[in-house]
Amino acid sequence: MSSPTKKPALVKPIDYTIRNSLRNSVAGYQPTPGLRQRLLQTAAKHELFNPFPELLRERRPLNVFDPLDLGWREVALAQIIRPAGSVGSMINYLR
Amino acid sequence: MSLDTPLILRLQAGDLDALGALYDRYRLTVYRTALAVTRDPDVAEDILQEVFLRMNTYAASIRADAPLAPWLYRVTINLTYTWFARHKFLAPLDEFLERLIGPVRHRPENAVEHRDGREAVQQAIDALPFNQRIVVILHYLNDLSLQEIAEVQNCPIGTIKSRLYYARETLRQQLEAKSLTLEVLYEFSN
Repeated sequence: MSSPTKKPALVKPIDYTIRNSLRNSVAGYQPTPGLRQRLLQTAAKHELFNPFPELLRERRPLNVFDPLDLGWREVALAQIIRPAGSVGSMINYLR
Repeated sequence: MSLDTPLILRLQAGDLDALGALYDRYRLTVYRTALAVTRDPDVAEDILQEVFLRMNTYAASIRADAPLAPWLYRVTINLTYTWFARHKFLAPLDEFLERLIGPVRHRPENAVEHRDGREAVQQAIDALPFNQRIVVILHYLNDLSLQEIAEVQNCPIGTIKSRLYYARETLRQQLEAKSLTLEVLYEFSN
C-alpha cells in the first residue's frame, strides 16, 4: 500500500516528531520466534475440529440474490446483524 | 492480481504452508501496529496470532485479487479496539494492583524518566481518543495515505483528514504545554 501523494510537500517538525517517536517506540520489538509454530499448530487443530471445512470454504451465490452475487454466509451474517427482515438486512449489508 | 494472490489462493485451498508464508511476510507490520496501539508486547503477540488465525478461518471471504494489507490492517484495528474497550475498564484495577505489589519503578519518586522527550510524545499519543490514535499510527508508523486509511477504516476521507488534523493539534498543544519545543524534540529524535 503506497501512494505517491501520501507525503506532504513540506513536512513540519511536528510530523517528524510524531513519526520518529512512533517508529523508535516499536523499532526493537519482534514477535517471539516460537509464535509461528504455535500459530500453525493452532490453525491445524482448528482444521481438525472443524466439521464443515468444505462447506465454509465453498462460496456459491444464492439464487435469490443472484444479481448481488452474495453467498449464503453473507446473507446469514446480514440476517444476524439485522434480524428485522431480509430486505432491511440486505440494505444494511450493502450500506 | 497482487503479489499475495498465489498465497491467498493456496490458503483458500487449505494449504497451511501458505499461512506460514503470509505470516512471514506480514508479521512485523501487524505486530508493530498492534504494539503501537496497545503498548504491550504480550497483547500485541496475542493480536498477531488472532489476526492470522482469522485469516485462516475466513480465507474464503478474502479477495484473492486484491492486496492483503488493507484486510490485515482492518482486522488488526478491530482486535485492538476490542482490547482497548476491555482494557479501559480493567486498567485502573491493574494499575492499582501493580502499585500495590509491583516493583519500585511505579513509585512516584522514580517518575523522573517520564521527563524524557520521546516518552512525552508517546504519552501524548497514547492519550488521544482511539479513532485519532489509529489514524496517527497508520499514517506515521505505517506510511498509509489518507485515502488508504479511509479504505481500511471504511469511512470518508474527510473524516480521516479531520481526525488527523485534531490529533496533530492536540499533540502540538500537549507538547507545548509540557514546555517541549518541537525543535528540541526534532533534534532529539534524529
